Amino acid sequence: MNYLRTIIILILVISPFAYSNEYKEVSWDDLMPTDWVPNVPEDQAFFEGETLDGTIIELPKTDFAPIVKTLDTQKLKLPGYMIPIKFNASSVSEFLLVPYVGACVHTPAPPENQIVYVSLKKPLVTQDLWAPVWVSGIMKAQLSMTKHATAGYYMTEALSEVYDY
Amino acid sequence: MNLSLLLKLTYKSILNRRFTSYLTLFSICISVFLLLGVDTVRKEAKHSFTNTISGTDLLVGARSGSVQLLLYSVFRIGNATNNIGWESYEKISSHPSVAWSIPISLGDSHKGFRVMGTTQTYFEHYRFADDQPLMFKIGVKFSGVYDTVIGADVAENLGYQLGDELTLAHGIYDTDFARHEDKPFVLTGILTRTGTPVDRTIHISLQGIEALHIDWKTGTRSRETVSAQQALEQKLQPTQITAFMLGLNSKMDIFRVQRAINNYKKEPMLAVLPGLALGELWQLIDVAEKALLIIAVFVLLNSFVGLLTVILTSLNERRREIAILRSLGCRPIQIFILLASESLLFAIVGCFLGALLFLIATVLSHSILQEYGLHIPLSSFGSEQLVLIAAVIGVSFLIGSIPGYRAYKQSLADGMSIKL
Repeated sequence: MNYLRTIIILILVISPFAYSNEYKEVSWDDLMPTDWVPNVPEDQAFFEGETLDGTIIELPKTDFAPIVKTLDTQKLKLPGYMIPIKFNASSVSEFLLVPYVGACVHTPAPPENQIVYVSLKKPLVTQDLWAPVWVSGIMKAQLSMTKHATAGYYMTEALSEVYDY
Repeated sequence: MNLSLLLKLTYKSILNRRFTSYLTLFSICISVFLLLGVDTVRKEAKHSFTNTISGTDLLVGARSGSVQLLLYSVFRIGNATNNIGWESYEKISSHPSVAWSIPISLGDSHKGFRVMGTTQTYFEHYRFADDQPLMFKIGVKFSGVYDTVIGADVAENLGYQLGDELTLAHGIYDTDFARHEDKPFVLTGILTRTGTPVDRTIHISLQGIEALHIDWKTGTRSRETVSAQQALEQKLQPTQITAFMLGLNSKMDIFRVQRAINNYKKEPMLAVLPGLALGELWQLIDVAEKALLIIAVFVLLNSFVGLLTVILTSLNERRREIAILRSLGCRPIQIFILLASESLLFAIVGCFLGALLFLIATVLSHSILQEYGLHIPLSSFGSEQLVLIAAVIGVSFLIGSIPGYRAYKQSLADGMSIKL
């Protein structure tokens, strides 16, 4: 009996490690190059604006945030919030994964290296769009800007589960 | 004594108490109907709302609230707070990040259906329910100023054919005194049914909207009207629109473009992600939705309590009957079945009638619900509803076991000796 218990405890202890070996858990900080200092954009506007008194102000173009090249093709797992892109009444199949929600009005939008475009293998059935989720999959770090894709992190055929606090 | 005989006894016993039985049955039937109805409307409303917009990355309008913008521009519920300038629209839609844009101009109506001014890009890029494009049942896109394309419901309700002439009205209520009757529109196309507010929309070009309002620039109809032909000769360049939808080349740019639009200095505008705005709408509706469901569940519980009362009361009356059955050799477990099966029978028949009533109501209320942009197909009666019904029957069995247990416990002598 004791023998059996030891085995069960061993399995319980080891299995989380076995799991995390498969998908390396990363934090959002790992997605930012260590030598990169996020600058405070004066205004992230695309369009030059005109103030109410008629003066036209040219807005400085901010650089796109660099991404970590070494993350490409790695099996990663990270938590975040979903910004649904493709969805129906009960499930989400494509979304932007971001480290926080709701604060977008006060601060500039998260830089490109803090957004992961995720398309799921199997749609995540959820009633609560605001609940945080775990996403695991193969990271694709797109370095070049093309006409149809901005440089950034992409994860296709990913797996997702509701984050357990 | 076998089971079929027991059931026959139950049936006969219920028949003997016809009036209370019918009332109990009626109350169960109504509450099952209510539960099914609330649950279905709740789910289908969400489904049909979500299906209305697909593939649009940003929704832009005058600065208001995200839910409000979504409601008036996509679901045509309520009115716009303000229009936005054509210049701003052109500037934003010509940005390299933007793949396509659909301008929307609202505010007029035709016999209760909203009129929407847009461009041909609408028919190319608008998507609903998992990326489905708009299809033409008959006819083609509008090309001229006085051409119009209508949704499936408009065509069905008003019986329009290709080539018919439509008179649009100023404002969202169609009245005789505010019609644009001097500028009739010709029907060039009818869209296939989508199950979204598109079905209830009359689409005309932005130039058409301008032509309609050429006489109304003062806020009322000018005394000297410009004829339809004269209007064509004028410059029909739109100066303002109500809202527009944007599709971006890369989803990664959504936040950037959103913030750029929200910070646009020249005009206060609001850009929202349809998915997030819908999420906010659910949060809002969720409370009312849950309250409705809770009420429905309580109504059902109430009718179960009624059922229990009826059976328990009858139990007192049936003491002698039960005692006689026992003395004739009926085992206590059979007495239990006799009483428990009674409530089960009520629940099964009640559920059946309630479901029938629900199906009839679905068919009858079809046109009423459509007016709210709700589309409830008959197929909505599915496995989830069957699970609900199974749960109701299960609960009724549990409830029926209470009088069953009491009768089971009552001794033989209890019924035989008459207490005076």
